Amino acid sequence: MKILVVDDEHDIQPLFEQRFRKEIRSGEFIFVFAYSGEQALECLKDYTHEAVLILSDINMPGMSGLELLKNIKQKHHQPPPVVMMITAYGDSDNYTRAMELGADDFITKPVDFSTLKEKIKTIH
Amino acid sequence: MFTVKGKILMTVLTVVMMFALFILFYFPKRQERYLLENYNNEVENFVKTVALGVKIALTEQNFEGVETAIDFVRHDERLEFVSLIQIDTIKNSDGVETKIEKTVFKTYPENIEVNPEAVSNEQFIIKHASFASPMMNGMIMLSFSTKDIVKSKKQIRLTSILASLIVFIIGLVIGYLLARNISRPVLALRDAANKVGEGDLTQSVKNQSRDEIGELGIAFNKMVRDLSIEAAMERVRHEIANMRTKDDLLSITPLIWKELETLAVPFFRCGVFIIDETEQIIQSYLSSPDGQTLGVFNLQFKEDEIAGHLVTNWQKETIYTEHWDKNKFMAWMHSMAKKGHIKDATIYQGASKPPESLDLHFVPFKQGMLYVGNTYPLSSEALHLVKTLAEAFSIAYSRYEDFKKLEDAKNQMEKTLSELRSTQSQLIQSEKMASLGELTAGIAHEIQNPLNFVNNFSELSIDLIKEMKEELTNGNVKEVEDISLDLIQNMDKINHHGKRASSIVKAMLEHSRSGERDKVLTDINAIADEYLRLAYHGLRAKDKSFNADFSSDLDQNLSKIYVIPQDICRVFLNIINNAFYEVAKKAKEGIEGYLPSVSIRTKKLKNKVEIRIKDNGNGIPPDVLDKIFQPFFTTKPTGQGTGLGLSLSYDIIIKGHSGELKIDTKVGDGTEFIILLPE
Repeated sequence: MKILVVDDEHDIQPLFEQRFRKEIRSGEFIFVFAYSGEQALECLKDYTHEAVLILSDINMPGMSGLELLKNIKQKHHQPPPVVMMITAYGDSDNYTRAMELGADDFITKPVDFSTLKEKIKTIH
Repeated sequence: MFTVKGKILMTVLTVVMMFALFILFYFPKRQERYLLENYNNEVENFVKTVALGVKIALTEQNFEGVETAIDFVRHDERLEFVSLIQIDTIKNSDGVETKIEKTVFKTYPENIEVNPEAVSNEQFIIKHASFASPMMNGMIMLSFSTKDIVKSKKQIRLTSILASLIVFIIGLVIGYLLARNISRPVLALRDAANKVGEGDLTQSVKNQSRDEIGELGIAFNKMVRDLSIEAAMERVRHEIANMRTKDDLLSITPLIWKELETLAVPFFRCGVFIIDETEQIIQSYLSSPDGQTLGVFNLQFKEDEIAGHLVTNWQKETIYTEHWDKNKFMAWMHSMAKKGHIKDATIYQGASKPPESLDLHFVPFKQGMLYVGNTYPLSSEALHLVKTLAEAFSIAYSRYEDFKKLEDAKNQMEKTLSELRSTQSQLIQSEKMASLGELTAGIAHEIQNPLNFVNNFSELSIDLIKEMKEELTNGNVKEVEDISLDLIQNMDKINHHGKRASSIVKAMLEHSRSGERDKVLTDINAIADEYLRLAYHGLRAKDKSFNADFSSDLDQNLSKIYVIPQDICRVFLNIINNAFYEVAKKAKEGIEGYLPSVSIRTKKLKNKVEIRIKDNGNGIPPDVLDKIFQPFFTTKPTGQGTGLGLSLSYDIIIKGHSGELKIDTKVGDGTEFIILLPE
């Protein structure tokens, strides 16, 4: 399963790579990283139909996670990939907006990786 | 120069001298002549009588008769001689008289030779009386001595000398007294006038005389009195005009006291009641009987009977009088003391005993009533003086009130100003707090992220070490090596994010800490980047719909410079916040293809550090550009901006750091703030 992680924090890459070390090794998950919404859209062009899960941060300079979500869900893919929003702000506003735009899940930072793993596996 | 006294004396002496001279010369001369005339007449009468007697005797040829006629004068002591002289007329043949022959016929005393032609001289008076008888024609010649007359003359001379002397002395005395009587009051007037001229208005002249000088004295006294009244009024006006505070007003009663004394109004208590119709109170300034002020107390309009009388008479502008006996006085004093208006009844009473009789006079003026208390009712004249004083007081008091109003207005303005200043400082504080608030959300986000990394990487590292231990047991060296590389990377990440978090905390502390204002060596690049992120995340936290691109281009050659970090941070935050605000506003206009963006760029110049904060918002119109550095100027909606951000920034850069703050803006394209800080 291909997973696109979108976050403006570059260190998200080593973190995910270590957290899902076993899954990556076993080839169960393939992670692709994008550091902005714009970059994520570029990636999605390249990996059309490949990415089944997108994990996106909401607060990013430039295109925000919510815009990206809107973009993905409304324009790009049929059937659209699963999009999980990850944000530091677990407020209801963000949550409602994300859900309205069709987010499949809403995760608040700090991310509990074991729960995240479970969630990803249920999509599987 | 002759004094009045001298002139009067001279005049009197001249008159007296003339009179004395008259007595001395003219009077005795006249007397002597009169005496002589009388004597002559007497002798003449004698001679005529004798002549008549002789004539009769001769006619009757009675010679004894002749003797009898002579007897008429014979025994007179003054008699020198008496002669009977025969006169014969000798005629020539033609019957024409040719010669008259006088022959002494008989003389008494016989022994004296008589010259029939003899005439009167100094010693004698000689008189003739002719007669005609058939027997003979002749005349009687009579000579009387003037001895008595000479004696009388001497007597007269002596008397006249004495008389003139007495007249002279009396004249001298009268003259002196007269001169003194006239000159003394005149001199007194002159001296008093001189003293008045020197400013002593207590002068008056005592003069009981009812003449012009007395009238002059009365006029003079009146003039001095009028002057002293005018001076008293002037003092009242002056003193009151100098009053500035409520405490100054306490000297009203001593002032009135003094002037009533100057005006010689009989009194022993006085006071001023200022009537305030809007507040319905009477401000009462009273004096004790020794002229001390009893302070001020407020009397309600309806509090007291006398208060009511005061107000009604004041409104009618009439003088109000009342008579109090001892009991009434005591009753009033105690009621005032009970209400707390009078602190000490003994001081109020003043004297050891309360007055047996007190006549209260209240004289109205524009702002209240002037009170004068006396043991007996004041004369209309005295009341008139009090009225004059009250009017002077009124004019002065209204000036005081005007001044007070001005002063109050000034105080009010000063108060407002200080309130404004405190509001301003509060606003500055709240601007600071607002920016801190803006920061907090950003900080939370900014801190949360590194902390998450720290937590994650440390958790991962624990797992990795466990794994490493397992691999070691299995003797899988290659795996151990890979894991240790990961561990190094993780520790590096932990270290990096820990530092990141701590630097954010430090920045936050610096921002809130205002006490320390020392310039410290600061990495401008670091804070520029940091505050760009903080501002962004702060705004994001506040407004979910907000988004913008931001970037930083930092010159790595930039060396650290001495600045007050918290101040510079505030400048960056203010300008960056404004930039984000502007681009967000423009984004909401829905312009196709608009990408809101804010960028910060640092650059090392010669002896300077340049920081450029650029946005692609709408730019600043020229009319706004003029005002953006003015305190409290803001284009943001109410509640969103304090209007102090740029004003403070300007102060910080220009005054605090001797730097420059420039704006490059183009309406529609965006704005660039250029900060230049000396190295």
